[in-house]
Amino acid sequence: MGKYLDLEKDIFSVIQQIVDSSAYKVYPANFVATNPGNKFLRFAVIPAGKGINLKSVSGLLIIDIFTPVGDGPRDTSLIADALDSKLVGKSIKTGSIGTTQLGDSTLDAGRTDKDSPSLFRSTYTIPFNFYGV
Amino acid sequence: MSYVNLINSNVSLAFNLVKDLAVDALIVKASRSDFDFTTGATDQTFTSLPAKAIFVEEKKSSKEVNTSVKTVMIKTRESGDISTLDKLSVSNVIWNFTNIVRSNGYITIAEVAREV
Repeated sequence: MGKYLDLEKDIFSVIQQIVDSSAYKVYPANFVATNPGNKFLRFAVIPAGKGINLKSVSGLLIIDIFTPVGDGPRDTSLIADALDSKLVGKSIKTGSIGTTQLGDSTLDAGRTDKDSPSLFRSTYTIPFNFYGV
Repeated sequence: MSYVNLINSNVSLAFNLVKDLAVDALIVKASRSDFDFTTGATDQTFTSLPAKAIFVEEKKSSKEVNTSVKTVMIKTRESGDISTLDKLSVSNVIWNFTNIVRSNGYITIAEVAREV
């Protein structure tokens, strides 16, 4: 197993906790969902930064929060807080190579989704460092 | 006769009138479960439904890979809505639906693509 798969498994394990504890669905990038409803999350792991050694990498976990258009920002804030409780400052180790440490989150103002005008999309971003040994 | 049946029978008539321009095809419809974060995969099942298809236009690109993108008109009253998860099989060649351009419940106009 390499660092990218190890990192993916770390992120998937914490995403599974979010799925288990929430009513909305969560999908990874490049997954076409069927019947996701009008409140769901889609995330992408972007390990595009440098690590402290050859087995390490840093990057961003970007989670798009989809809520119904016209319902105001409360749903987004509640979901972002729920994500914070599972992600911010957490350290995860599921594989054999390294540990993923998550930093502090940010949330953008959001906009109507360009593909589905009935959905409002806000982007929750949290940086991570994967320390491989 | 209901208007729905009247329109559908006229669409069938139109597809018959263009003779061999309308080819026999299979719409391979995908049904999948939600993503499994434990395995990193999803369970998919496929169902093939016969349909008539008319290829309207073809664009070819060879900038990075040789790709053929065709616009196809399909009679989809019987098969139902098409999604980009589905595939189109014509003469044992599999095309991937990349964009559903327009659908009115009787005919779907879509773009399909494959690497050639």
